[in-house]
Amino acid sequence: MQKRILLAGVFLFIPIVSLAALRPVFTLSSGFANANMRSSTSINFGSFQNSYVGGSHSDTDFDSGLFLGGEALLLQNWSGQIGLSYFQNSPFVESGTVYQFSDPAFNNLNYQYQIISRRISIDAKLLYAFCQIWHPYLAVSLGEAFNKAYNYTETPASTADVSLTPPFGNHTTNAFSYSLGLGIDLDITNHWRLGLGYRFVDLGSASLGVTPSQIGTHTISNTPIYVNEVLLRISFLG
Amino acid sequence: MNKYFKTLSGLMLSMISVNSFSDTPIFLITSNTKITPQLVQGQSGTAIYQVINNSNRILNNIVLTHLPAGITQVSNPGPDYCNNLTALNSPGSLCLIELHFDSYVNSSLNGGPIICTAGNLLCSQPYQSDQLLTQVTPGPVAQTCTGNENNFSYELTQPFDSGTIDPGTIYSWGPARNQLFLSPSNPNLTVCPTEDPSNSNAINWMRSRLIAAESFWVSQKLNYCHHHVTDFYTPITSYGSPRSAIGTSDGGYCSNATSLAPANYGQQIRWNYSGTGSETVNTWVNQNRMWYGVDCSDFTSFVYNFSFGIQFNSDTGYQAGQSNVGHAQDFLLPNTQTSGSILGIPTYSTPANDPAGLLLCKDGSVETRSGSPNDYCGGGSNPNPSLNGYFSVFLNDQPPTSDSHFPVNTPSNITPAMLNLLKPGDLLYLAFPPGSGKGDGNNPTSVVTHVITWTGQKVGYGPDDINPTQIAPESICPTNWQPQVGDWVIIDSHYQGPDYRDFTSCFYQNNIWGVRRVIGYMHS
Repeated sequence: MQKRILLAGVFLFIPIVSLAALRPVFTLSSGFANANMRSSTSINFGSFQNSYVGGSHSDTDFDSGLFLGGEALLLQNWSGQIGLSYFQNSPFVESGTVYQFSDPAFNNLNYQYQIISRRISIDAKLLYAFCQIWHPYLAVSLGEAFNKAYNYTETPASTADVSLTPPFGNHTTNAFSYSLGLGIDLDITNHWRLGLGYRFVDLGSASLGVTPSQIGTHTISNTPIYVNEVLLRISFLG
Repeated sequence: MNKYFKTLSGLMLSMISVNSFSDTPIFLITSNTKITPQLVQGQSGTAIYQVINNSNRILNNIVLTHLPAGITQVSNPGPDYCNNLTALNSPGSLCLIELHFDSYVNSSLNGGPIICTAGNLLCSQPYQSDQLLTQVTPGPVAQTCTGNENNFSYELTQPFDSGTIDPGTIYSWGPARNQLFLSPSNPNLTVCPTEDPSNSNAINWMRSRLIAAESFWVSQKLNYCHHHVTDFYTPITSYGSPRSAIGTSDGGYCSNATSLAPANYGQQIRWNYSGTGSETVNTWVNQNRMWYGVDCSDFTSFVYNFSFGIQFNSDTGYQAGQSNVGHAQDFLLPNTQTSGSILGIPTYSTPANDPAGLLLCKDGSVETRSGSPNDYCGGGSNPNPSLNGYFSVFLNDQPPTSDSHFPVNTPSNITPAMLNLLKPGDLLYLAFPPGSGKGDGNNPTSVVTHVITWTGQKVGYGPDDINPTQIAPESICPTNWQPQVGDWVIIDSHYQGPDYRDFTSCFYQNNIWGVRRVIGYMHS
């Protein structure tokens, strides 16, 4: 499904940017990204099982990306942008507690791993011209996220506890991703535009690799990661 | 005054600062006897740990892992030791493990031991304060006596226990002690002790070693228990009774820290416990820490055995010299001896039944029985009731009293100047006047109820002093135990176990039954 959307977008994008009325647009974006994280699972080690409980929590990092597309006038004072974008966040940190024997009394270890999401999407934006230089907008994107979970570590809850060896491996999960956003752009010159916007992004899920010690392939995974972002943009329009 | 206040404040804060951890290690590993913190390359070392299966589950394939090269588990025939960790399979099961640090190891120890189950996937180690931590310094091992005053490596490799539970009393004091021996080679310490009081070098070596041994055991933070040895714990059920119900005069009794007077101190755990790691209320009360320890006279007999292999009776009255046949001399005092009833001296026919050395006279000399006019502290060939020649607050003329524990003390018979005549290692035996309500101890018959060791040290901040923070509280004179710079310091086991304590007149000085000197007057 995600691949079909992506391909359709590419085929739409090429003829659009070839239209003479289209102004090419190149945008750099960066800002704060606050991700809601939650992971929970039980893993079978044969003679016992452990539970891994990362309660719902948030982690704030940076998200940055670029957009390449075109802008066309749709109606008086209304214009639209469409194009492709690539975004990548600085690593979100997922953490939780290991319940040995799946018994909350044996909360002897804390775990942590990192998630980087790299995303390619088709972005569309509807802008309104206000006082000629202000452009409030609504935006939407659909695409594919490549969510890498890696660098799993355990920290003993006290000096009497000892971590599991070897740890869970790294793993990249492909997931459907979408975003919805709004904001405002401001024309600085005829070719440069500054913007500030809010965006909600669904990154999809992420999961770690397995450890050689476990039975089966079921591993620690995150429920869909939702991100609230505030992004500063600078665009060049041809 | 300011220092005194700070010391007290620190003590009180340490008592009420009790933190807790929420984790539950799968194996609770606590040190019973810590390895010496510093070893010279070539010396061997020993550490004893108690391990409990804390998982509430049956565990299999339990192993000691990640032991540094040269550290091995060694077998010990004593009770409670497990040479095979299958003894830990059942939930709640417990055993002691003895680790030996081989003499060829040249790297320092830091961490562990780690015990794992389920293919090394579930592991625990002691809390940090209990983990192995020993610095190994370059050799060679000193071969002189003075270079080995506090070297107990060889003693620690020897099993303390006979392996036989002593059934001699209600419940049990646990296994009898084994005789321990001084290192015969590398270094040879068997040549260091002396029985010649004029051999001042050897006498000083023995005094230093005895105090070092007591200091070593003080640092292990044992409790006061009716046991003969330091590595035996009172079983949860002892001779059919829960251990918490054992009477205060019976074998296996351990000081109940949750209800000990003085109530205003209110400590539920040993007074110098940190409240964190393995030094928590739970570890103390429920995980056997409070069930390890020795009583006063077992402590003195154990440390003389540990220091030199010297044996004497572990019963307070018999150790003081009263006859161990029946109870004929239970009320006998040094100054009430007569030609028909004299206190004992070592005979070595059954060394473990001997009294400890010889009694001390008021002038600091040791009593003789050689036919001299000075025998019996001036009594001539027989004890002379007209003299008050022994180092004791109890005179020969005892006032009549209906209390069978009759001695009435005369504190003025021991002056501050006389205390300067005492030497490190001297054993001071205490008895209490009728109606005092103090110091009855665990001995239901003899008037001698307590024994303490003279350290020759004072409270202070100098290199040879005992810092006030090391002075333990005690329950007999709760308003007098607080240390003040310049006070004499003794070591004894009562209240919460072997500790340095302030030599108060209230508890100690005013109740001295007699003093016995072992060093220079006994051999192993």
